[in-house]
Amino acid sequence: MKLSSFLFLLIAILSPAALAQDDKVLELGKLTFQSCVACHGPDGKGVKAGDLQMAPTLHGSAFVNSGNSNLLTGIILKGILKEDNQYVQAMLSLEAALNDEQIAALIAYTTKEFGEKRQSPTANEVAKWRKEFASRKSPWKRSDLEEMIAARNEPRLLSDLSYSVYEGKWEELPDFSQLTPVKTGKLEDGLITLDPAKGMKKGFGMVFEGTLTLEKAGKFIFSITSDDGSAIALNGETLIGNDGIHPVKTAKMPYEMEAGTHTYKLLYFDRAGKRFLSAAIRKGKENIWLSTMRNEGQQKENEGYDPIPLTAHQPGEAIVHRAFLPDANPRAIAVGYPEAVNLVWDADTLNLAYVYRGDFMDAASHWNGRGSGSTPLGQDRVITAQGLPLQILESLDEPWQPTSQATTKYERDTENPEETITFNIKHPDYQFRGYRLDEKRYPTFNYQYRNLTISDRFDPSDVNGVTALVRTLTIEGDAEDNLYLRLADTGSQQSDNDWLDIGENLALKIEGSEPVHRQIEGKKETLVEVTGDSTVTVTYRWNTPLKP
Amino acid sequence: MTQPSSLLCSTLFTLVFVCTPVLSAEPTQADYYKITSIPAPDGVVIEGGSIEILPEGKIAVCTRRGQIWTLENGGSYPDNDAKWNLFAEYLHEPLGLAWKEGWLYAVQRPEVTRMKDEDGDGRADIFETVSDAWGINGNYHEYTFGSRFDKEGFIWAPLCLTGSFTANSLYRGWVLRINEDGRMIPTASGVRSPGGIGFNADGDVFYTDNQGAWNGSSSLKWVKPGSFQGNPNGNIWYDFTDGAIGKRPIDPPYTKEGSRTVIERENIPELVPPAVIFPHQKVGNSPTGIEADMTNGKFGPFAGQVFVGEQTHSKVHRIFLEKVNGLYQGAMFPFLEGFQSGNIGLRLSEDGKLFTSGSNRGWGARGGKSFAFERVDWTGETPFEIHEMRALSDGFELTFTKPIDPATAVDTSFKIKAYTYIYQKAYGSPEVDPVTPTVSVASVAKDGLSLKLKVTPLTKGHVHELHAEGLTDRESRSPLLHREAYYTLNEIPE
Repeated sequence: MKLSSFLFLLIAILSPAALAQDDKVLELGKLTFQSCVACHGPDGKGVKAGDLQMAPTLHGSAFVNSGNSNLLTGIILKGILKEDNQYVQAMLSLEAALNDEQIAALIAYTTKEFGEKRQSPTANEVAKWRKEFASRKSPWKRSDLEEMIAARNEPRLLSDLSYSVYEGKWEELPDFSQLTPVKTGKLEDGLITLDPAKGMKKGFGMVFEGTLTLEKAGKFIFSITSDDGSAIALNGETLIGNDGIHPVKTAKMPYEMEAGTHTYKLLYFDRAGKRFLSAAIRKGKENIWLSTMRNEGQQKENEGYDPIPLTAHQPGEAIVHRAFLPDANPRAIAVGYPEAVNLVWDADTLNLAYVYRGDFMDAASHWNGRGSGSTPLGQDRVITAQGLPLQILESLDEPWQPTSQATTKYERDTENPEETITFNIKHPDYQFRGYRLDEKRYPTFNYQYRNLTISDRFDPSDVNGVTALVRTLTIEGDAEDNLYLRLADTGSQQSDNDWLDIGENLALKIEGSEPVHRQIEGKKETLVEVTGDSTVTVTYRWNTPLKP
Repeated sequence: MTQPSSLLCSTLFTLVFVCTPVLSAEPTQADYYKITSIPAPDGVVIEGGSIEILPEGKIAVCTRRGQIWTLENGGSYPDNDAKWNLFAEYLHEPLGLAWKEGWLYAVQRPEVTRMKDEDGDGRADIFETVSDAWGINGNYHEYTFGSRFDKEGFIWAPLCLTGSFTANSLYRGWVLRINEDGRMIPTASGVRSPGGIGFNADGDVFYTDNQGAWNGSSSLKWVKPGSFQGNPNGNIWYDFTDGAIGKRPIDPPYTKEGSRTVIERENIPELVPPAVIFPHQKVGNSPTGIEADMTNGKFGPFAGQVFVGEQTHSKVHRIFLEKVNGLYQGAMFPFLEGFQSGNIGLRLSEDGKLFTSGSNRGWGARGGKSFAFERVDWTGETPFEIHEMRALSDGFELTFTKPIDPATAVDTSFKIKAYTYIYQKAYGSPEVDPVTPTVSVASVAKDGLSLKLKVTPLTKGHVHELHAEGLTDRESRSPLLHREAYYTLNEIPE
């Protein structure tokens, strides 16, 4: 009787609508947890792999019990590295697999089922954290996570911390007292952070003011690390200056302090580029951090796998590297030429995707974990006229169809029978035929288009001492009428001595065929008409030398 | 409390005392099979995907880093130095290799490619795209595995689902057949997450699929052309096949409680049940490459059987297959363990050397090393093993590699428990519907090489897990090297 009346009371307090909502969250959480059971087990105790564990138990896990949904979101998004054989499995990144709502529900479900205290983050909060973690490209190390938990549990020396954000472009710290802030607020957790200035696109400044409480008197080392300038004032007196425009730079100052409370004021500005601000106090060996950003100099989130730069086995040879690559379809093929000029050719669209200069490729994220693709290095990346290269145009008013896609109803679950998905599908007019390497390992790409056999080859060159790439398209067979090759769809397309500006400091010159310029659907395009058994030569040239 | 435990102690003592003189030393794997690790060149990471044997006995292995290495003296290392040569590199995670008429074919993520070294410098210079007739969307889980050529000149390629749950690119969740002319035949649907593909001794095609959605446990599956392998997520692609394999099967129930494969087979005629289930966690977590023993005894007494790699547990399983009422089924026996990484590729040379390659990247393995290339040699000694486990109308017939001691072929030497898994949209399944049949020895062959067990009841659709603890061989009185067998009883013979 007692129990049932207690239950009744509970139900009466929680509105039925809220309860139903909550059930749904936990239900979604349970469903989402299916992605985890292969290693953590349906009971969260970790699946055994013989005498080892696939993954740790979630019961009593310091991470699950951290009370920190932000941290848990970070773990779910990025995964955890396998650093030894303690667990058979690495934790994989679920960034691409789970949406914000699923992650919020997963945290609710796992903390309730396996943890000490249920956490209930909202999907909006998860979305915000997802953005914060976006720059991190690799899974966590356990030690990173432990540090993060420790940081949360460490003593807070600052209280009543408030901030003001100012807009402006300065060379050095301005007199903020003469300016009007665009935004002010409080930082309840007592940690200095640049988060309130996230939306600031141009230069900005920030002032933080709080109460610093020291239990004991003694000599403390105050430090401040910033990009660009910063300064600390203690009890109204400037203690450290770290002013001016500079990359991440640390300034330190020892100071004899009385026990008790002090006013602590930190001034900061950023003109452009990287933003960084951390502050700490040290007594003895350990820094006590006053800020969310840590580590003098480096922002931890950007640390990832050790780079694996790809270099040719023999000097003078090219590298042909197939991997998922940014700004190209999944069948991407990167080529690094010995003259520090590189390109990505897209075997989904049978066309050049982009060119770039300098170092070639970092395979670290391709060859670690489950492999998310390689990262082009270098500089001056220019995306060329991407998409399918050829089209028969009955008139020049006909728009270009750069992709070949299809849509299908995806009734994989009866709960959502109307869902459709759009996916890339091979264009029936094209067939990739592979590539052939010459003695320098330079590739010539081959494909069929309708009745034509086409080869697409690139040779590094230079024009007046500046890096260039010469592209030779060889067309074999009888071309149909009104067949066009699209060579540019970017830049001003102004010609200067036959050099066509296609933007981003890159120009191209076409030989073997007369360019046709047109403006269509708000885009400038340069085409050439293709005739049978012909060759089109295109030179891509940067306007300035490669920066060292 | 004292009395019973001291009683137990003295009983144990007596048992040990009585038994020890007649039992020879416990046999171990190393008495029969030796594993030799063949080191990669300095600084080279050979995260092995698939292995092929080239003319003149050279071995080719493709790696998850996209390299293809050839190896000379793989069969005789360490007596001769292992000579590695980098034939090709930077392919996109190739997981299939096949040699045909001067071309080395690689099945990589985006396509089937064939390669040739035209200028004779040991490195491939022609990379011809044979087929790219399927979709990839950039999700790492969209793996493409590949078999060698079948009797009719086709490579069979199972395509993992997108993220292992959905099918967001064309033919994810299907097995395709591709010949050297680039002709592609959509061949079977219902795939979840394959780990390898190969042939049995008759040349029929099998692939391994991993535990997950619609797979209660991992298994070896028969790729009967036109079949549906159980996971309906890829069935949207029937619309794109031009009727190549018939109409789309009806979906299995998406209900929370799920169903059983044996029940849904009645509703979905295209559904082919797993030929041999590998009970999850008990025998492994992730089956991979498939290789039939075509050596006629050069690799021990298992000619005609099939070996399957196991990635998580760093093992190789042994499989006996038989066809009953038109369906494949059979038994899985534990076989080899103690590999250094997670086995992916398997290849048995004609002269009876089993090569394995593995990686633990992204999917950990008990072996502990991040990659390995190993060779298994048979010592020439015959292990005492259950050779075959065959279904009968009222039980099973066991055959043995050596004559058994008839005195130990008694009812108490055998125990069977039977169970199945839920066929459901959720990930994996516990063992369900347990049955403990009574087991008795019905007859023992005069030559001691086989016996029949009467098992009551036999349960259609269940895994029958056999433990043969007390059996010894006649000559040396040794127990079985492996005492367990797991028979998947899709059909009960008449």
